[in-house]
Amino acid sequence: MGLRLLGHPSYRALCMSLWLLMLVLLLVSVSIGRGPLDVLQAVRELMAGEITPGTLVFTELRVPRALLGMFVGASLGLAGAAMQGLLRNPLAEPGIVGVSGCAALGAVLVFYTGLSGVYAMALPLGGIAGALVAVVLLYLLSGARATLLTVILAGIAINALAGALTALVLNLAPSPFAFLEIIFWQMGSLSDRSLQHVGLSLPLMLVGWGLLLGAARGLEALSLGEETAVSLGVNLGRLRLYVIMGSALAVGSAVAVSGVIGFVGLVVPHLLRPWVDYLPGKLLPISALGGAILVLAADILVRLMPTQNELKLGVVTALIGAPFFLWLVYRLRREMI
Amino acid sequence: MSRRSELCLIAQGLTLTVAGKSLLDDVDIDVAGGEILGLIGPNGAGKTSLLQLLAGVLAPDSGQVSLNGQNTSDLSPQERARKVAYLPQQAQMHWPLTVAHAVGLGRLPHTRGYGRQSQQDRDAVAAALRQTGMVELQHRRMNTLSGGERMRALVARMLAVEADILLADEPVAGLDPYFQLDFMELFTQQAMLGHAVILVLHDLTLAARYCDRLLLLDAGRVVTSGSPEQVLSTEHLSAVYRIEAIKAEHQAQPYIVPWHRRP
Repeated sequence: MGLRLLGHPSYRALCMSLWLLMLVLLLVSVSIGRGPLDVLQAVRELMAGEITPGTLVFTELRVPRALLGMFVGASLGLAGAAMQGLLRNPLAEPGIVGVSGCAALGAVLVFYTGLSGVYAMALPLGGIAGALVAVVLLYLLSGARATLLTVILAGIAINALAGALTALVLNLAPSPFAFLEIIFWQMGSLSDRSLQHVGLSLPLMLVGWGLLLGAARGLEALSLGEETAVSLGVNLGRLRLYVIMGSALAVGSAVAVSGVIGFVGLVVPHLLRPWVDYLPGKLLPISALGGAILVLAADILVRLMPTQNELKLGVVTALIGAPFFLWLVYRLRREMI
Repeated sequence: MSRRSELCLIAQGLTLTVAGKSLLDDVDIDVAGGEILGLIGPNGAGKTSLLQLLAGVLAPDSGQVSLNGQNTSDLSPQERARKVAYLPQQAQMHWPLTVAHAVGLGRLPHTRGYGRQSQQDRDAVAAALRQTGMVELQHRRMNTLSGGERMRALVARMLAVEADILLADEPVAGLDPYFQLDFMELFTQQAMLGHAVILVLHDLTLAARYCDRLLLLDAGRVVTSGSPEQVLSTEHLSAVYRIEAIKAEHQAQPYIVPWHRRP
């Protein structure tokens, strides 16, 4: 009620503010890092076509990290909002329900069989294949009338399987750092990524975003239930395909380059929903912006924390997201019985 | 009373089998503009399936549905959705949308892409809110409404489509007597405005009082159809519903009170 008295900002104003905040965080993100760097000078040298240590740090480390943070965050926020719309369930989040975990498994398989060395695109494609298996499994297991409980139970099962298989692959792989690798994939990070990673994942993410945004209308109708949605002219089969393929593309290619960054798709849509009057279609674009903001902010935080080793980004999002998840479950528990 | 218009929905030979079980077998049904057709019959008779076929939610195994002489399978889903509005049994609402937004979803068949509503869309929503008496509650969230208010909002959503044909599955189930009468009067008004209305009903008195014609289904087949007196005969009540009922009149209108299960 308080919000209503203050008056909602218009949708456009909301989008503009989120865009602005995202751009500010993007600038902050490129201007901080492990070593000191005069960003302005690096940009000036870059414009002049010079190659200096400064420009190298800028283009090889800072920019890819910031861009990936933005794109990965947008993918996770958007996919979370769309999956929640399709399952009509506020807890359906790529990390919680195992989609990210399966994407990591797909990426790990491709990485350690050496496929990604032969064909670079195999990495994001592996992630997408893993994510696709998970979304389809989730949809089949929880069914069209997904309750909170069935989604969470299906998610636990999928997550457990993906985690175990990922650990198995890494244990069998001839890597002396297997344990570190397991941690990397299951607690994602954006450090030491290159523009090549951006190039690999962005095109597929874009396709995913397109599909997910194309589902807006159908998701809106779906808030009245499947029967009514169909009677309003919605093609349910196509809607499901858009959300399932779109989530798999967006989350799969994001996880393939960053590892699992959990809870973004849970926290962001939940916080933004009241600002769009709970309309599942309008929620999509701002969830993408919100996801980008959250991941950029969390990635800035891990670099500012005075810890000896840089914290994993996935650790920070889990530290924020998991208590939030508990609180949501507590609030929704009456429906779960 | 020349309420009947050219507009009509005619379905012939509708047959539906799901998982080896015959739900509907060679059902014919028709309704004209200005008319309320009551769909009655015991639980499991196939009333809901029939309404779903007419609404295009399910496709029949055989048979066809035509609207003003045009076969509905020739229409795109969106074209069909503009002509036939459907309110399912126990209609759901998954997010706490405001009443105005929920009603606005009824305009989806008229819009393209995402979002923008034309002046015509806004007028239709306003009219639907007015006709259902929901203007004052339009900013309330759906989850804060009482059962009757919620149903009004869902009926407003159906009216906002501005479809010629209105199909409602048990629209008065679970409502108190005040709202039951309220909704039957609302549908009568819609028929007066020229809409063709099909209602699934369990209350035989409401069916007898408010419907122009009744169609009695049992085990997926049409037992009979015609005027309420004809359809609600003692024999049909006994054979199909397996009850004995008290039938009488009050102020020249019929009422039917189920009294005994048939021995």
